[in-house]
Amino acid sequence: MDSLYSIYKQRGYTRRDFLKSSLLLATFLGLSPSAFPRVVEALELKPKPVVIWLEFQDCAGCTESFIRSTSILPSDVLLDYISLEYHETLMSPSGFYAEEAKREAIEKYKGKYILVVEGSLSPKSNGVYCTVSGKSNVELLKETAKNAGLIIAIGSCASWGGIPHAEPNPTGAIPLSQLLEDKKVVNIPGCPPIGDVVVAVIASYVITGKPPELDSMGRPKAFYGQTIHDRCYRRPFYNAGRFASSFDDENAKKGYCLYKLGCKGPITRNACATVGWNGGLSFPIRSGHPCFGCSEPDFWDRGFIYSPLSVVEGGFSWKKALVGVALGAVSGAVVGAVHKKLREGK
Amino acid sequence: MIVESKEDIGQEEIQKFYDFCKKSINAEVAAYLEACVRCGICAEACLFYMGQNVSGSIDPFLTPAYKADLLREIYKENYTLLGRVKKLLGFGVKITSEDLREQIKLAFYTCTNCDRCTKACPMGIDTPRLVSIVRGALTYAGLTPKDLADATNLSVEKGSPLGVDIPTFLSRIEFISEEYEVDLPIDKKLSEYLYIPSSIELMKFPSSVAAAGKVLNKSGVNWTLSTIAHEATNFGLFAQSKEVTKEMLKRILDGAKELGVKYIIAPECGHAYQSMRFVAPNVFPEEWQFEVLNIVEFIDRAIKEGRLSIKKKVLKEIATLHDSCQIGRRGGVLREPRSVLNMLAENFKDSVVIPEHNICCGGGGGVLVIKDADYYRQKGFISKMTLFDKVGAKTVVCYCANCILALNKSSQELNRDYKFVSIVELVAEAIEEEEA
Amino acid sequence: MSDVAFYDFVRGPFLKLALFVFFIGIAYRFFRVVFLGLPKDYAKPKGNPYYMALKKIVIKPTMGWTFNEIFSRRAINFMGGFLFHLGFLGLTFLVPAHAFLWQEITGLPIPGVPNIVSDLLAYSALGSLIALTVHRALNPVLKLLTGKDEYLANFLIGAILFTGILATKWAGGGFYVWILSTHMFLADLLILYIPFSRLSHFVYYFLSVGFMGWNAGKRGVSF
Repeated sequence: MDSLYSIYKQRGYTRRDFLKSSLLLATFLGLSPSAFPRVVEALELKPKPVVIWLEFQDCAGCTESFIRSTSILPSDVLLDYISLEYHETLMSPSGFYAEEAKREAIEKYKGKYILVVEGSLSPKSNGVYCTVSGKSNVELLKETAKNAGLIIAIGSCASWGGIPHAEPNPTGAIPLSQLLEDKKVVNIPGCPPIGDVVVAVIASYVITGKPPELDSMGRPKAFYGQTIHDRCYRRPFYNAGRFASSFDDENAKKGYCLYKLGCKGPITRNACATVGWNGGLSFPIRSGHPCFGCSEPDFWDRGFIYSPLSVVEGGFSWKKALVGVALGAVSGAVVGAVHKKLREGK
Repeated sequence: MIVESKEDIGQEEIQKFYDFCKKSINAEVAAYLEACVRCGICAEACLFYMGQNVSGSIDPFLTPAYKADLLREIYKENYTLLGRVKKLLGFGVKITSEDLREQIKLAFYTCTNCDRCTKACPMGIDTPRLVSIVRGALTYAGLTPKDLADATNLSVEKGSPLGVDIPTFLSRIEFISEEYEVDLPIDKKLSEYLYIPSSIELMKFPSSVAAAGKVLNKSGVNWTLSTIAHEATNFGLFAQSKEVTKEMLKRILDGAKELGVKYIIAPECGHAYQSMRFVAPNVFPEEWQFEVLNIVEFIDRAIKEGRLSIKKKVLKEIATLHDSCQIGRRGGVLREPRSVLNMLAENFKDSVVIPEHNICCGGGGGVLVIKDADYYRQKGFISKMTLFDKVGAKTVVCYCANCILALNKSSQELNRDYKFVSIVELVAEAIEEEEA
Repeated sequence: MSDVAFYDFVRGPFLKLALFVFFIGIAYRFFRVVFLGLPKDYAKPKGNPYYMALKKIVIKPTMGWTFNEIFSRRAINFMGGFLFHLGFLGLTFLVPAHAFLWQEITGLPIPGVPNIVSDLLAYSALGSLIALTVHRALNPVLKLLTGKDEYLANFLIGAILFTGILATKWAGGGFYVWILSTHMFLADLLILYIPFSRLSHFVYYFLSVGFMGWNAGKRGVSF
């Protein structure tokens, strides 16, 4: 029975390192200091989580993000602790052996394993657009999800449909939650999501035995409760009305607000501005690029990503406005003239 | 042609009222009706509302914007899509006889068409024009107030609202020229100027006619009176009856054409100037080729041209000027009386900073002749009084006989001791004293 | 419906519909009146009507201030109305988020103002709007003149100002998107509502004040 603490010991880390990680985790999850002893106890005693990771219409970017999450757990501990029983990109077996391993894991850890789904589903045409070992994606998902203890949709594709779902959506991509309407799905959107967030959500399941608190769209409140705009370090520039107009002008160098360059921070819920990327080192806005709202539904279809949020979607055209004015003018003129005729006729 | 004053209001009258309102809409009227933003600022500009307010009670029905509301409803249901739809669904305007009685009160009793609300309105809405349409519609339906209808009919029948027919006119002129020792030429052919007195002056202020005669004689122009065009007032304008207006103007046109004059001098009478200057050219677009001057305008022009000079200040006490709305605010003769009065008075204090903001006498637009409107006229006078008292003047110089009549009447009714004098008489006095 | 879906609806199809209705409606209402035509006026003008009409259109908003007697009685109307229009128009065009929109539409570089300025404008506009509405509800003259239309318009504009202020001040998390969407939704409603209400007075202003100036020019008076 491997718990997190025993893995730490095996790897030669001190208890101090373990406690630091535990504290960080508790902080991430927004638990109160008084809950800290419970967290430590759970991580000391409870067995490590078993994860079955399915990939459908995806790019494996979420996996990349996940294995690079190093804020909470050291990378060698991470992959040892979170026991990936089945992961197409990372596991060494292939073909028949791989599928057999998955079947065994499902049976062995019935009702306890965590199912992580990366990528959107494609039920269109009986799921021919995405198959593994002769089974359609829908079939694969259904048989795996049946006995899962916790289902996590990782990335915008699995949460909202993502890029496969963008216009014109040739494969009929849909999010996970649409296929599993009877089950609770934890959505961790983002393209990719922050790896530390994924780790924290999995660990919280280990600690509490139940999924974290979710908002109305199935996202963990602790990480998706606030907008980037709310916690953005460039917010004072927004308030002062100072904006960069291009990527290389004087104002951009001064670090002014990127709203005018199409920053979607105001409508995007994510933890980028607080948790940060690469061990909390940076996030897009800090590196000088506007947020383009990857963790919100249909972000890819929300017009040109570098036009300001307040600009009319699809652009405003004088032509259309003039057509409207002309139409109104003509009808007004006709009505006016008719009234005039009527008045003079009488 | 004769203006009626019916007692009973039936379906026929309501229909006639409705049709007239509907027919009177043009771009300008529609713009005014649409533009109202219901701010109610016009109420504060209305002398009747102000007078009520000063007396301590507020009567919101005196608000000018409210006076056009029935017309607005009629406009909406005939000229707008939404209104038409409403009408189709049966939510159209339902006018009752009570509504029309209220309209009579609003249009005839409590509006002198003084135009002050237009100057205050942030949207520039010309409420007098809208009230005129309501008046026209009421007259068309035969619902003119009795007193006004009687005066109007009298002016059509006898030639003057005070019943001055040609023999009376001739005898009055003879009397005036003897009494005041002034030469008043009648029907002198090929004259340049035609002076038309109003019957109010003729009957009630004969000295005013005499003064005008003296001034005209002194200025050395070739002028005359006419027996055909002997009445300048035009009650058709008050009742907004197109036929009466045309008939009264026709007499002036005939008289002026017969004598072959170039200029017509309107007397000290507001709507006489208004009708001859701004209405007549539209009634007779072809034939009306005269230049119309008000007597004050004429005096000012004569002084500037050097034909007349005033060197003596005849008015010693503090004096202020009362502007006639139809000559001043709506006629554009505002600077002239002030420049003349500055020569006449030692102590002239203008009661308003901007001449266009002066308050009406309360008796214009036919309100003076309507007995039922006396209450409102007195209220109007109260607000007028605030201006006199502001500068502390007891002597008020006017250039409209109707204003003097209304102000005098209200002043006496309210037991005040203001003195109202005509500016032309003052000019004549100055000239005479100079000669003597 | 998720907040972002609502947001996309509000700034996408609904805004387009609102703008189309707005342009058609306003043009219709303007030209319907213009094409009723005017009778020809044969009276010789005393001044220059065309010049006066133009002049009045430009300076009329400042003219009420010269009418001292009325100003002293209705200061709330003049001050409140002035502040409200200043604030409302200023906010519409100069708040950064709005300015970018207008910049995109007109192609002109419209400067955005800092929060402190837009806050001042917004608070003065909202304050004066509330004051004017209360005045409207209490003054006997305005009680007589006011219909449902005015209250609805005032409420709508007040709600837009309020949600706008709330959105700029909000620091309490993801509910921001709902506030922003509501702000935009109400603005769309306002755009949609303008052609059907007295709010379209901004087009009639040109007609009505133009006619007034024309008449003043004809009669040779200035005010």
